[in-house]
Parts: sequence; C-alpha cells; structure tokens
Amino acid sequence: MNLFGLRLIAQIMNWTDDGVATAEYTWLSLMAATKYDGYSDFRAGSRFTENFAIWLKQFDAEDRQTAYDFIKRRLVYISNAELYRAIEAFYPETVTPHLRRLAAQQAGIQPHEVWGSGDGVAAFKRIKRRSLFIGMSDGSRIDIMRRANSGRITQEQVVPMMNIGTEKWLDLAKKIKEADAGDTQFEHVYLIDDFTASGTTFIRFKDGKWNGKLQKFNDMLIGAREAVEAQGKTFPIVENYALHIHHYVSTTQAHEALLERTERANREWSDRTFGSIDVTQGTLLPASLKLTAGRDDAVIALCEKYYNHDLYLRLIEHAGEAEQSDLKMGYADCALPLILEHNTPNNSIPLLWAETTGENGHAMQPLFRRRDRHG
Amino acid sequence: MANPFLRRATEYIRDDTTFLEIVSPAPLTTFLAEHPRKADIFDLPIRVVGAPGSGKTMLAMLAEFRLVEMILRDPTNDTNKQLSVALAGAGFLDDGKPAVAAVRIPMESEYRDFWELPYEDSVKTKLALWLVQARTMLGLLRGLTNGDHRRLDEIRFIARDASEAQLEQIGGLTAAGIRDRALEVQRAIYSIGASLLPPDIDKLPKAATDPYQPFECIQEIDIPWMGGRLTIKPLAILDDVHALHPDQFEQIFTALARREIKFGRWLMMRLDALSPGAVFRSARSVATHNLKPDRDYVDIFMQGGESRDKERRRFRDMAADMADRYLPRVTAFRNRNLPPFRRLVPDEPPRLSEAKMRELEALIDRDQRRFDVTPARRATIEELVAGYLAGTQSGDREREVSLAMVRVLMARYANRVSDQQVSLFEDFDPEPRTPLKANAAVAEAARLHLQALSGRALHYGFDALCDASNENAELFLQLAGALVARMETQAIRGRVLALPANAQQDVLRAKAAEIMDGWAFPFARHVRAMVDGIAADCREVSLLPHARLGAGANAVGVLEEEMGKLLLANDELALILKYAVAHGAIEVTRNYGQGSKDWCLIELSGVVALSHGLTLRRGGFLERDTDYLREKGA
Repeated sequence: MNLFGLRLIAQIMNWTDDGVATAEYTWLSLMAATKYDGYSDFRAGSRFTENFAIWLKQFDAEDRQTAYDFIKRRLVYISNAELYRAIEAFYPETVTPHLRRLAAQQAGIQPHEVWGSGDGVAAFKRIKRRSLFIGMSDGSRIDIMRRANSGRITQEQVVPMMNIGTEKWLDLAKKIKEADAGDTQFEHVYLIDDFTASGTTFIRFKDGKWNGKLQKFNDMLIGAREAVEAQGKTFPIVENYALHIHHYVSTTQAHEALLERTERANREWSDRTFGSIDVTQGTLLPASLKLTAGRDDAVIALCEKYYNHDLYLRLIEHAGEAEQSDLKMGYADCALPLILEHNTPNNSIPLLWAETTGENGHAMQPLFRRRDRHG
Repeated sequence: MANPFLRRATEYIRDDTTFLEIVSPAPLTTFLAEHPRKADIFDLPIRVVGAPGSGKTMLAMLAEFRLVEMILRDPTNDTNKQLSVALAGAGFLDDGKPAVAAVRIPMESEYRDFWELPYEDSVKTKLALWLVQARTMLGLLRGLTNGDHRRLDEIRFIARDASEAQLEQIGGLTAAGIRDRALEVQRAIYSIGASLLPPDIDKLPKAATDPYQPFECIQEIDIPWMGGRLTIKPLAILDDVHALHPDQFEQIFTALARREIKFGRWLMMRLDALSPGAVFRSARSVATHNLKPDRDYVDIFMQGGESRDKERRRFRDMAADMADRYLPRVTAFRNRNLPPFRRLVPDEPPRLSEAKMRELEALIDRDQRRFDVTPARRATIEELVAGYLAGTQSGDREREVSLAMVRVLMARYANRVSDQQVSLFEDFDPEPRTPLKANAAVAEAARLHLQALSGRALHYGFDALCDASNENAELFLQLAGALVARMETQAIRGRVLALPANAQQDVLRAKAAEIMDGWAFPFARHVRAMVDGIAADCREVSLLPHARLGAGANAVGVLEEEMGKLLLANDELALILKYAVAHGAIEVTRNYGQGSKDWCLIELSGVVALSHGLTLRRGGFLERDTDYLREKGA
C-alpha cells in the first residue's frame, strides 16, 4: 500500500471526512493492485497512485472532483489478462463456429451435426487447413494467439506481420502442400488486430482515394501474386478468397464504420483480391462508452478547458486523415474513456494521455502516458 | 493480504502455515474443552451447530490430524504452543501426543445430488454414506502419511470386537488394503452420481453395492509416532451437512447414530438445517427418529448454549485473540509496533462540544419547566445523580451524562406525582410514593438519550464491538474489519491509529447497515421488515423521557404458550423466525420469567441494534404477541 501517495491524493482532493477517505483509499488500493499499477509505462516508485496524484493536482481545485469521478466511474481499463482472454477466445468463439457452418454446408448437414458426422469432421479439418491467420500489427499478439491454439492451427498457418516477402509466400505454398497434398492454396484469410476505435486506420476514403491497412494488404497481395506467378509457381491464396477482419476489441462506432466501408469497398474496388469480407471482434464495446453531451457534460467541459492545441499540431497529418480540426475528444472524435494496458489509444480523450507544455493551451501531464507512433 | 479481517472464510486459506498463524484456538476451549459431555465427543455422534461464520470450518480444519501433527512437530513456535494447549484441552492430545486422527469431509459437493437419483431412499442413503466413508478413509490415510512422516505399510487399523465379518468388505486392516477398497468404492459410486443418465438399479456397479461399512468396523488406528507406536481414535468431521436434503440428512444421521459405531463422527451444520422448534430449542421438537439428545447424540451449539454473560466474556477473549493475530497482517500497519487491538478501539467516552453542551443544558431547563419540577426538587435529583456517578465504576461519567440522567429522573418524578393533588397555596413539590433512584440503568438510558438528543456516540469500545457481534466470529471480523479500514486511514494520514468514540460509532453503524442490506437468505425481506419494525418500536419506547425500560428495549416478548403453539404449527412465521435466528438477525431466549409470566424473548441482534441505535444491553423488551410479529414481518 502506497501510504504516501494515498495521503497526497487525500490532500489534493481535500478529503476532510475520514469516512469518505476510507472508502476512497479502499477503492484506490484495490484498483491499483488489481489493474492500474500494471500499466506498461509505469515504473517502480511511479505507478498509479503517484501518477494519479500528480494528474489530479494539475486541475483547478474546483475541477478535481469531476476528474476523480471520471476515473472512478467512467474509465475502462483493459488489462493484459483481459486482453489475453479475448485472444484465447478468438479461435473457439469466432473461427470454429464459422468454419463449422461452412463444413456443414459442404457435408449437407446442420452445423450442430458436424462433430457427429465423418464427412462433417473431414470438411471442417479441410477448411481449417486452408485458413491463413495474419497479424496486422504488434498489437495482434500473434505469439499469444499461436500458443493458445497450439494443436489447432499449425505454425505455417500463422504469419505475424502483414509485410510478407516473395520468399515467404513461396514457403507458405510449399508448407500447405506438405500438410496435405490435396491442399495447394488458402481459401480463408484472417487479418487480426488488437483494437479499433474508429475503423479509420483499417480503411478510409478521403479525397477520392481509399487508404488504410486493408488497401495496403490488397495492394501487397496483388504485387505478391504477380511476383510468385512470374516464377511459374502457384500463389498460396486462391483468387476471391474469403477475407475475415477480426479485432480483439472494437468499439461500436468502429464496427459500424468497418461494416459500411468494407461493404462499399467490396462494391467499388475493381482490383480487390478477396471475394467476400466479414468483420468480427472478440469484445464489442457498447456505444454508450463514448462520452456524450448531456451525460458527460462535466468531463467534456474539462476536455475543453484543459485542451492544448499543440497536440493537434503535432499529430496534424494523422488527425487530418480523420477530418478533424482539433483533438479535444481524441482521434476521430471517438471520445473514449479507455486505456489498454500496453498503451493508451489516441481515440481516448487527451485528458488521459496528453503531455504538453504551456504553449497553445494548458500544460498537461498524462495519467497514462501514451507511446505515440504518430509523433 | 490488504485487510485480512475482510477475508474470513477459512476454506480460502490454502497454505497450512498461514492458516495456523491466524487461527485462534479459542473455539476449541470455548465450545469443546468445557463442554459438559466432553468425555463423549469422540464416541457419540456430535452435531456442532452454529450460524454462518461462527467458526465451524475453522474448528474442523484445526482438528485435522495433518494440522495437529504440524503443530506438534514444531513445539518451539509460540502459536503452536497455544494451539497445542487448546487441542489438549479439547481431548485431541493425550500427554502431548495425538489422541485423535480427524479428517474433514466437506459435504457441499455432490452428496446432495445422490438424493435426486431414481432409487429408493435407502439405496440413495447408502450410496452417499458409503461415498462419505470411502472418502473419510482416503482422507485419513492422506493425513496420516502427509509430510512423509510415516509410510502406508506402517499404519495398522484396529477392528472393533466382533466385526470380523465386516473386515473383508473394507479391504482388511492394512492401510494399503483399506486404501484400495476405498478407491474402488469411491470410483464406483462417483461414476453413478456423475453419470449423465443414472444406471438402472440392477446395473449398479458391484463395487458400489457390496457392503462397505468402515465406520462400524474400525475402532482405532495404530501408527508410528516419534520412534514409538501410538494408538489413536479416528474421527470423521462432516462439514456443512446442512447442504444435504433434509430427508437425506435425517437418514444419514440416523445411520451414523448406531451405537455400535466406535468411529468418531461429527456433523458440522448451520441452524438452517434444523426445524424452527429445534432452532428455538424446544425440547419436544429436538428428538428425531427415536434419537434423543444427550442419550444418542450430543449437540454442541456454537452460540447461546450456556450462561449468556459468561458466553459474552468468553467471546471477548476469543475475539481479542483473533483480532491480535490478524492485525499485524494488515499491509498499512507493517513495520509498526502495534498495541493490542483492544487499545485501538478505546472505550474512552466521547465529549460534547461547548455549543452542544449549551444546547443540552437549555433543553434540560425547558424540560424542567415542562415536567413542573421545582428548583429544589431538581437540586435533590442532581444530588442523587452526583452521588451515583461518584460511586460508579463506569468510565463514562461526563457532565452530559449527568444532565441526561437528571432529565430522566425529572420525567420519572413528574410521572410519579402526577396523581397527587396540586396545592393552590404553596409550591407543588411532593415526595413521590416510590422514591427516585439513580442507577446504572438510568445512566445507560441517559447515554441512549444523548445519542438521540446530541448525536453523542453510544456504541464504541471493544466490549461493545464484541457484544454487537452476537458471539459470531465472522460478524466480529466484519465489524472489526471496517474499523481496521478506518485505522488504515489514520495510518495514511499520519495520525495515531486508535479511533475516537464517534468515529467508531460511525463506522460500526454504516457497516451494520451494509450487512443488513446484504442479507440474502430465505425470507430475508420478511426478516428485514420484521426487525426494522421491532427496532423502530423499541427505539420509540427507549427514548421516552422517563425511560421506563431503563437502558432501553431491544426485544419483544411473546408468551411462551403462544410461541410453543406457533413452533409446532405449519406457519410461515415460524420459518421467518427460524431463518432470522439462523442468520443472526434475532436471538431467542426461552422461558424468560417476568411479571409472573413466562416469555419467549425475540431479541434483535447486535447488528440490528447498532443500525437502529438501540442498547446492546439485554433484558429490556416490549410485551407483544405473534400477530404483532406477523404484521411486522409481512
């Protein structure tokens, strides 16, 4: 128990009532021990309690209770343990039911009859062997996914990153045949990532142009197919394969955006390599997670008051993609009160992660420091 | 462990060493060592009955051979020394060596499911009973061979005389034979209970239907002990037998009560498992299946079984011991030189602020006029009060207590002279026919009134904490845990840990309300309504200016005759009362004689009294009937 940190918070929050202090100390100690102290950027001697004290202190006295209540009542923190559960659930809860449905169709039976039918089991195994799993970023935690599904998915069905060279494609083509001579190509491709808040990073349409990871993947596949076939070899993925996009955690906003944009891409992309596309997630964060006017006015007011436009200027290129003029409510205006243990998404409100000097607005210290790819 | 007071259930403590560090030996002494039938506790079936949290499982775990051996093998440890003294007192040790090999069998698992099988009751009972016996034998052997202190082939079982015919069915008298047979029986019976579809009766595995009665056959166990041989008595402790179906429990209990059995057998159970009559200790309703208490079996009640004052004193010792063991494990208190827990909840009386004192004085003056008490009479009353306070042992003799006592006595005076003729020509200040008396009851009433009039703390101090716990260890730890959380706040704020009276009361009252809000047992809503209703009436009467019930009321009395009829009738109120007792909402005192009548007192528990600001002193009650209880519990 961090007595000094707790005492500091009590002073900052002006808890004169011992009953209030006792209840809050209990809550703070519990949450720090079970969740927040595990944040990847915290270090010994500077974990949640200390950072929380520093973070609270930067607010004007009259704003501190709002800030404290926001952390206590609205913050959603996804710990590694929780994320691992979502990763472990991916195969049994997303992949298996889908493949079982396909196996049932092929065997001419009902999905629940698959395990009781020789044809059903054989079809299931065949479809499973012809599935390829590709990680879209470090966050896809392909190592965890692979370990959780050891015995179900072979090493050769998993590719940890999207940038796959020709040699790797040739190797995949060789390995799929080795596993079963009848298999020459993958029919299902799963693109896996940890989190999506707006769906923008994955697919977006701006200035008459499609962009995002899906576009990159499609382009990469076209190039790779040409390179492999130029060598007189068979490319290990069939034409018009079934594409599955899976995020371990997704907001409702992102889910809806992905559905809408992928459907449009399916219609409009003349060079698309996939035949069908579907979007799934392990955990769907409810639409109510987003801070909204009326319900979260006090916190939204803090976001306004303590905003520093330096953030936008620093991230303008990236923020510009989402067609924003400021970052008060986070990237793509997602207004999320969300922390992932390994990093804080920029879609969360900057109040949580902004680290700015006093120019162009309020100088802010982050509660959960964000490791930023974009600047 | 952040606040070990708040993590009580002993089943959650996985490590034996940790368990021994925090376990208090007091229940062994309190409930076993001085039990009048102590000599029979390893021969007759024993029902150890207590409310949830009274320490049944802790007692059972401490008595297990595995732990007894661990305690005896390290006699240099102070904790072990205390525990071994208590174990010896309860008969588990003889001359510093184990006398009993006990094993605890939790009954919460699948035993209840056997009652749902589509067989005759006798078959279902045998299946469950034989599974219990097989697991007892396996548990015994595990305990005896724990820590590699002896090999299986060094353990010999001694049969009861004339049990030769049964030896074969239990696998002989060698430990290996008994283990193999027990494993076989366990596997066979488990396969029946765990199967998706129960097998037809004629297709039950042979191993499950062949006779198997080690309890009837085994009398003692011969084991190597510290270089010699030792003969010990086996004891099966069936924990939480209330989880069984009531009929199943009756049948198993009857089977275990057979007199030829020499194997010790204890059944640990909650009060819920008993009938309302048994919970209320009606002699007529305790007898079951031709079995008579004290002749065929012995009941050990972990509460309310003896003189209540004595019980309260004993519980205070036990509670202090437990709290002192838990306290150093609180994270915030590490590296502190902690005083005993008792000193952290001092009974130093609270003091009113100057402003509140002035308000109180003004109120007393107003009441003096309201009661038509002359200045001379008030002076006499004040002298009476001063005389009492000068001679009392109580530590709470503050001026406000004296003022409130004067108020009570002035109100009594007004009552007592109210029927006397008022004189037109002189001051009306007659002597009351019954002289006024300042005593402890008036002082306690004054403190209660002060709580209502000035917000002065009423419930504080270690004794009040213990009394509010109703001799229930878990409840004590919950209340103490809330106080410890407040002490942690003191530590964080860099203050002394000891809590002032007002802080203690705030914490205890909030915790009591939280406990009551968390009641979730059958009829909990009715029980809550009933105790809230009774408490409101008790408080109203307790706060009458003349405090006719002295320290105040915290109970209602129903005539014994009426209560006796209720308990024998098929009435929902009896069930409500039973669950209220079993879950610590009320306590019952039978045959309480007052006013030439025999009363059954329904006393509000300490938690209810805390929550509603009632006295924790016993005895003050309102005369009511069962219709009143029915109305309040509706």
